[in-house]
Amino acid sequence: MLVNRLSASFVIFLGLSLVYFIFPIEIEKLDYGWVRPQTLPNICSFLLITFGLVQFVFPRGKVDLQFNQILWSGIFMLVAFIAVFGFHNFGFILTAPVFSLTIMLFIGERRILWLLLGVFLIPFLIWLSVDQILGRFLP
Amino acid sequence: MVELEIILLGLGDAFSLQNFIFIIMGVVIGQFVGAVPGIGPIMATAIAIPFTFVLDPLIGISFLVGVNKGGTVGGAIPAILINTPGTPDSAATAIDGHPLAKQGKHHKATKMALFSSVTGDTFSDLILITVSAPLAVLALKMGPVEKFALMICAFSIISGLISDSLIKGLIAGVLGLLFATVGLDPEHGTPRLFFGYFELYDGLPLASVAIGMLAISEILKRLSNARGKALPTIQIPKNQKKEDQQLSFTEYWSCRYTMLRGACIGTVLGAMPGIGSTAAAFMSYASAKQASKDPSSFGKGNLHGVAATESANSAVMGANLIPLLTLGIPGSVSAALLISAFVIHGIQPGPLLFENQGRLIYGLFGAMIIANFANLWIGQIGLRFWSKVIQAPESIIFSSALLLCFIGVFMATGGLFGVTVMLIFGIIGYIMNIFGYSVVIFIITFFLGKKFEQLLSQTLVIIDGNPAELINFPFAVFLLILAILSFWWLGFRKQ
Repeated sequence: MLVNRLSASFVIFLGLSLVYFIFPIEIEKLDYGWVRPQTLPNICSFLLITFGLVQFVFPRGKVDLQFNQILWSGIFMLVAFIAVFGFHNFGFILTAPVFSLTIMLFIGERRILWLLLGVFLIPFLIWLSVDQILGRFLP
Repeated sequence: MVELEIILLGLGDAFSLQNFIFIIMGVVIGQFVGAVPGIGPIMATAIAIPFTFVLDPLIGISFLVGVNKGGTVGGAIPAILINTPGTPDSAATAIDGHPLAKQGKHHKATKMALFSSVTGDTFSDLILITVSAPLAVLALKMGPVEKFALMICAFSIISGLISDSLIKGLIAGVLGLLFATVGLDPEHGTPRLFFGYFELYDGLPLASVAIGMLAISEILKRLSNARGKALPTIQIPKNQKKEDQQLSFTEYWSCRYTMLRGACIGTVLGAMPGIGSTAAAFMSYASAKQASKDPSSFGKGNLHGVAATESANSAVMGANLIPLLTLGIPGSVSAALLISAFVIHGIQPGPLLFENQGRLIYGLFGAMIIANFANLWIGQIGLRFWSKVIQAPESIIFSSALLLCFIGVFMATGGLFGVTVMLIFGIIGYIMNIFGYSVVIFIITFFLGKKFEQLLSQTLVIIDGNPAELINFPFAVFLLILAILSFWWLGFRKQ
């Protein structure tokens, strides 16, 4: 109940911030035509505020909040963002094996054969099929 | 009217050895890319189009049709086995397919998916072949007002059905629409909500949003649950009963009306440009659930749920070609890719196509039927193969899936910006999942958002901003009343 109300509050807050802070800066206002650039975004934010209020007053629906899972998901997501940085700066060939190794070690994989497969064979097959066979660029 | 000789010549072309080999290749590639979350047949088709330059037009287009058809079947495999849809349109398959897999009935579920997919696809192809022109004329008669009303109706049904809370479903739908407004405004061409990133002028890339929300968020959840365990991706109980390992003809036949209904929904929606297979799958699922004597068993592993979604999403594929071949209007992203392949080969889709290129068109129809049989045959082998692959440790499956998502989105969007967007939407999808907001509704409204805005604009121009003018559009009024009724029935009454 409380968590549903919290998520509803966030939806209301999002709707209000869109109307008062984001749309005035990010959408050029025009005053002609039936559907102007701001029309649909404004309708959406109005609906978000309305539905958010309804959800706040009558909170319904399931919530699956597990802090430990969220923490580890955050760590995995951080690894993914670091991988994007790695792809940008060092390229696929250097980054992909390190990325795969990190993910596999985090999951708890310690068997050397599976590690070799994930760290070397899979990135090699991707490189072979994309870069060599399809002739497309890899990062 | 096309002469019989042209039809026979076209069918003869379709059954040539070279064409046959390329269709098989297309189906194999399609099933493979469809089964790997994050790649999908759309991207595979986009990558393959340049390779068809050197081929005969019929062979090239048949190959692409094979990739598309194979991809639809392949998409159901990871949806059932690891609850990670390979393609957005197989998201509905996971609702009942994954619970079946968890009960150790993955063979039964995947076979049902394969058979219902081929059934729906063949039904839709037969409709395409026999009544394509009259259906296209009917779809053409639906103006912007009716299409707009149809979208409102689809949104209200989907929001009420998919989410466990109507309000949460509506919030997810509105968020999808909101994100669809990023990029150039379709009416005035004014950039909106691009935050200084010129890459967003064309809007948020669909591949990044769909893969981020559907695949990355699920992989993240699975990774955090799997941490420290190194388990197989799915644990299939040993000593399964023999009847759980196979799909009997009785079980298949018991789903005949569900499949027929799904195939009809898929065909009708597929013939209408812009609605797409994801909406068809969910609408078919909803109708199967409503028609069932035991609706509470849906979502817990009901074979009818798998049959409904797979027959509908596969039926869209053939029907998508109705407006494409007769009017030159692509009904979906994959049809848009096919239209570009037609143009590359110097063929102009449109009303004159049957007259000028009758042999090619009937060759294509023959190829589509061959592709269906190829799907069935290769699917039988592919299902066993994927069931083995999926028993590998989660560490290897999910690290590979993540890498493939990265590379797939990189190739589809042409840079790392798309990959970053994918990760951001992975986070949004993850958070929405935690708080019970449906990511599937988000994806559907996001996909239809641009079209929705265009239709809203056209509708307001036609009725001159006066809602009373809607009385002149009785079918649109009917659809709007249906939307209100389903809103009440599925939302308030259900709760």
